[in-house]
Amino acid sequence: MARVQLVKIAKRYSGDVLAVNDFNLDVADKEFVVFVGPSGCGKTTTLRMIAGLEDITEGDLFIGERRVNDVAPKDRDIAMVFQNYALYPHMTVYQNMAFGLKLRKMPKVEIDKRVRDAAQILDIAHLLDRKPKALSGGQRQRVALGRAIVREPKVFLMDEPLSNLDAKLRVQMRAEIRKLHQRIQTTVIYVTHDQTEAMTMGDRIVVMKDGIIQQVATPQEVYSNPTNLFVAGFIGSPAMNFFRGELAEDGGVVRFRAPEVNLRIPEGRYPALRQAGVVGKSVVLGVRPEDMHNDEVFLSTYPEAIVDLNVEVVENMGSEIYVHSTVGGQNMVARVAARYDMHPGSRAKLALDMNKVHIFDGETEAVVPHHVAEAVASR
Amino acid sequence: MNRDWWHEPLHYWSQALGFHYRIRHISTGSELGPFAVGTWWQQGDQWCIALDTDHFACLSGLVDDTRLRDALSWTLLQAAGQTEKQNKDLWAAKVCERCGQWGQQSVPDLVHLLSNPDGLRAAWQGQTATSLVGARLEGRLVWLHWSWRESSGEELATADEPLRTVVEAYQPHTWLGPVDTSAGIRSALLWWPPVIDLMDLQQQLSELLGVVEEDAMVFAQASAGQSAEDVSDWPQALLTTVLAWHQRSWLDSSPRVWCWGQRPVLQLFQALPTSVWQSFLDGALQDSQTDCGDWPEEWRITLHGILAANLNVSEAARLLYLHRNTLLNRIERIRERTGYDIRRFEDAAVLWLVSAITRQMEIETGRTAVAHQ
Repeated sequence: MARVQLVKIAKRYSGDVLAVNDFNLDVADKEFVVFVGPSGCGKTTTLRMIAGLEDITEGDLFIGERRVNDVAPKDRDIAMVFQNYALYPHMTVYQNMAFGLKLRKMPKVEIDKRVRDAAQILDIAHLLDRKPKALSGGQRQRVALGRAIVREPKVFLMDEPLSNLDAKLRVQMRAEIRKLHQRIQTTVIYVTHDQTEAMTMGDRIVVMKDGIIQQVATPQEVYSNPTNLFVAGFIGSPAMNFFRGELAEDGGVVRFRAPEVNLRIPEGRYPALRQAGVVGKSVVLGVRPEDMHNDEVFLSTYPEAIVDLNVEVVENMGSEIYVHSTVGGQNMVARVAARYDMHPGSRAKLALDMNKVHIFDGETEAVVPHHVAEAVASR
Repeated sequence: MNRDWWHEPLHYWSQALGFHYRIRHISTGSELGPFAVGTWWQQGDQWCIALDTDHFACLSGLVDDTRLRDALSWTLLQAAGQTEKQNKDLWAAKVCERCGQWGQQSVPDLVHLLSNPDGLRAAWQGQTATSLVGARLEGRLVWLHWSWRESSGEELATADEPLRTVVEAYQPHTWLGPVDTSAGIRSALLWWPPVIDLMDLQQQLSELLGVVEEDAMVFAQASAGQSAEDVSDWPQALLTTVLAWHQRSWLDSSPRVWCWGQRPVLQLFQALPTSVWQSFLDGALQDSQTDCGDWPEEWRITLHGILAANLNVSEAARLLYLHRNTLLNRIERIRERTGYDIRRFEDAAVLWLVSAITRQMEIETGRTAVAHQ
């Protein structure tokens, strides 16, 4: 069991390519932290630096109380699970799970105990005599996890371990890994490019872009209060809708104006907007698909926060429908209840929940806090 | 240098092929030679092979087969190359000569490999013997590299053992031998059995690297060359293994497995002399206001994003997590400065080639390639 601390970590490749920069993170003992971001954002590089498979150019890495920058991977007390769930094709499941321990010259009795215990946890005890080719994808993934579990490491490092599985199995294995974490109570650092995986698995998620941490917070916090335009667009499916326009003040009323969009901003947000200095400037307004409503109640509550649109595509998800449209040249998706009759070509009015819209500085792309107190706190 | 270095390979060969040999001295004033090691000539019904400037071997009972003679030359050169640098160079030159012009970048590695591992020699001899008795042992060479982080008091030799154990556990009987270490990098040559196709090979090697990382806990990469059907294919197999390894430097992305034949465009680049690269850059950048070496990083990212999105700007914006208008601005700036509109396939392809060639020239010549305007 161990805490993992990354202090001002940087990774620079030859040619001065900066893959990771100024990475600061404190992972608590037994915490499940997920690194998420688009490909090339540095998440795997960071994980591999923790593993010791990549050198650290700058900064300090601690596992437990020990600085491990110069410690060989095998001496860091970690276990890794990778995307391709590599197994030895000529060995049985038992031999696959035991092999890493045999390499470490562990006594046979201890190896046997650990393998059987891990097999029990993963529900693969009945597969121990099979070879990998006789296993399904999900079973192989369990064996790969088993190979890591038997080591009883301080920290598990997982690099997109579910990417090779089909969608249904992935959903199932997400839950399995979470259950496993609760059972073995070990620190887990998990890398994925899939924001749904990040949201559903992590105690905290670390959103990365271009080698830099964009936000570290609980999944709900990241979803509800993204710190910038990137995080807002990356987290959430369907993604947040953005409208590029400007905030204009007229007769004491602040309005967001963009082509085909004219929305009244709630007065409660004026102080924070003024303090951020974005009134009269270019901004991006973001609204989640579920915060756009066609109920009469909303339409009448927010008469000055309505967009009028032409329905282009309707995706029926059963319990709800996704309405796709283009407003002022910008693509937009709304999630509305399935009871409404929407069809391509029809006109629709949607009211935005203005208390939930996000406003981002047009230049810096940083979020403008909802309230002054937050604005002060964030400085 | 051990003057009798040739006895072992000759003995091995004579056992395998059933010929007899006699070592002769080239007397002063003789019309013979000087010959390079491994050179063949005929005296009556006997074939003779040069061993050094003073000695040659006469072989009686050797089947008149060019392939066999080539194979024996190879073995002798390999043996000689372990003791004499001049012969190492000769060895590499022979491989290069067989396989055409592939640029100088791979030559030092070839020399290194050819002169280095006992395993390669043993495998070569084993292959040759197998081939000579009529069996076919197909496969390809794999060059496995791994980074090495020394723990206190640990010897390099012992550090190789877990890795070898892992490799042999994944694919038995593949390990040919380690290659000298340099600057924290270790490598070894493997002999990989036949695969269905390159995808299969890629998959197997990726899995191998996975278990190497998980169990030996080292960062590893691998290249695989062209498949060999018998000993006469070995020079090509070896050369292409090295060339595949050097393809890493052509791309921004860094896959960990490089299989010869997977990236034909890079093969084409590697076959072209540097003068042709420079000529291409001169033409491609003649109207550009910015040398490729001075491109902002965001241009390269933009270019790769557009290509990854099949030139679809909206899709590229999504992939790059940019607003479409921001991406359009970047594309316009690139067009203004270079004259190329990367929304067009031909223009995007030219800039991709410029980017790749410039990068390679920087690596090979240590200088920034610029257009000669």
